[in-house]
Amino acid sequence: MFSKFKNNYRLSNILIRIALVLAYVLYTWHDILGNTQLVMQMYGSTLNIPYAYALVMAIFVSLAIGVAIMFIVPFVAGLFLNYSRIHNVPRAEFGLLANLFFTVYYVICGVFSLVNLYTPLLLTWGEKLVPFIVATGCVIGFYAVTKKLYFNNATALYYFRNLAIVYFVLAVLFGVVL
Amino acid sequence: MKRVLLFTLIALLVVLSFGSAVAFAQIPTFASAVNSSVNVNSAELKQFVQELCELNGQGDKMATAIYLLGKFDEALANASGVTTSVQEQYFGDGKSYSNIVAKIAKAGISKQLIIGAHYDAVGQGAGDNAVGVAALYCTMKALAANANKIPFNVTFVAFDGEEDGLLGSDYFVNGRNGSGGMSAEEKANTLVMFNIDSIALGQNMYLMCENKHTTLANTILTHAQGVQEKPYAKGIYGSHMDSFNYGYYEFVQGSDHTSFRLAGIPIAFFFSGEYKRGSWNFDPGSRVNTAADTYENLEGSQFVERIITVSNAIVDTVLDEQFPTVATNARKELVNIKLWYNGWWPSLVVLGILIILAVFTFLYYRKLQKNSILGTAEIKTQKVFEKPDASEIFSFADSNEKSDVDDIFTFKN
Repeated sequence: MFSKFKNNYRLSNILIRIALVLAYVLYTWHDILGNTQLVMQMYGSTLNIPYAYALVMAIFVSLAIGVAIMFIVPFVAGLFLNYSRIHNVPRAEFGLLANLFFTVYYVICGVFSLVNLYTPLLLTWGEKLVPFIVATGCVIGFYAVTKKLYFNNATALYYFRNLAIVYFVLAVLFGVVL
Repeated sequence: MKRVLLFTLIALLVVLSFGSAVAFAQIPTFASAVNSSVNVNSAELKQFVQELCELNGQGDKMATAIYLLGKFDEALANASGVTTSVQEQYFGDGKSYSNIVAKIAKAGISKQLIIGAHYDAVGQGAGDNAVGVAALYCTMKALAANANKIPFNVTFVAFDGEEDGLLGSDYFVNGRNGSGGMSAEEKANTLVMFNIDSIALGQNMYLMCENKHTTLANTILTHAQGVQEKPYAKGIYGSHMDSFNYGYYEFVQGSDHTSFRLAGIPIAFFFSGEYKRGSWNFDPGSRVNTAADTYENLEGSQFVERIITVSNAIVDTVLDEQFPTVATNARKELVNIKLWYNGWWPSLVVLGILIILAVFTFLYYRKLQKNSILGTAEIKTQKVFEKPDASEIFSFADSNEKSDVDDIFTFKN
């Protein structure tokens, strides 16, 4: 089963992109819905949308952003390879793997974020720690897979250094500063 | 046959959904009679709300404050140890706010309860919050009549400036520019703050004490006919919004109890609205803070019953034998806002993990460096999907023995 996908780039690419969009919707729908409702409550006298519409709207907004991310991730992965001057890696595959790990990230974070539907106790801590820990795991997984596929002992050094720099910059930015 | 079955199934689903909708839409029954010990009636409460609406409509806040001060004096006339006062606050932008404060103080007792409702309004402000102030007045009368049975001091406050951002209650708790505010001792001695706001705008009446079930909420609910506990944590949090430095935002934070809760004082908040599937609508009629929030539009809202319900709930709770113990322990059940909702702590934890990760990253990098120097430095690229693979096109010869280019690469057939 897995080998079938492994040998069929086109099929894998389509399935992973669909999975990425759905995972993103899972991760963000209630956040968008919550914020939509809060805005509606603040301007309740002029903007009073029924819950069902707000829910559908939130899912569509999530879908739209998910579709955008589906294209942005491979593009950014390509930029990373360009700026790192790594030219011996097939970009399309590298982008597909990036999409795959983003999907895993959104699925795990999405499942954890559902906890916030039942208790706000993890709202602040969970919102910071869960994405950070899952992202760290995904970056390590992404590095391990791409290293095995495209790099050897000599070239992995340079790749690891660049990936680590990108990871730490983003982790400090999104995990600590923002 | 299949079509018949399908239609039957659809019809059944429609009937069931309507049935459940009707079942959930049942109008709650509120208390209709004030406790027998209280000398207040429906006509008096209606008149109070109507007069307050008229004063609000005139826009003369001073007249409203004087009217309330007179009513407070009247309500507490028969109780001993009573003081009434106006807490004036002046803000830099020329605005001034006046909290109306009445206190039943007992000799040798330092513990106190605070009961409040905001009286400032947009337009007539019938639902938000003349009805709430009437409930405060009713409660005041009832507690004054039972003052000898209450083992605490009781402070009643009609807050100003709520609509401008909880300014009156914030001044009452924290003061401003060195004036006003509660001392640390007063805060520590305040057992519970009851807040009444917008109790006649939505179909249901709710009570919120903390964002979780508490003994205080359970105790109050046993005395609050027709009042429900607010459904907790139903996914309507704006994770990127925080209007009151709570750490997260939900709409029920937007009233005077928040000023007290942020100071670590347990609260009990009575309000109305409709919770459905995690969605909160406190004003389905969209009247609040508009010219439509008038006394006439209160028709059909059972506002007198709601006033009596809230008043009975507070009075019966305070007079409950268990209440002194429950109120004293209420603080222990509070969620530590600074720990659980303050985003700085998890950020610091992330920073700590990142520092540890940086050490491991450096160690791994050194290991890679070592492998790189000692390794063969051969170049290879594996592709997952595309064939042929590089190794299928050419192979590498042993470079120690051959030096010519043709000798190094051997192309396969």
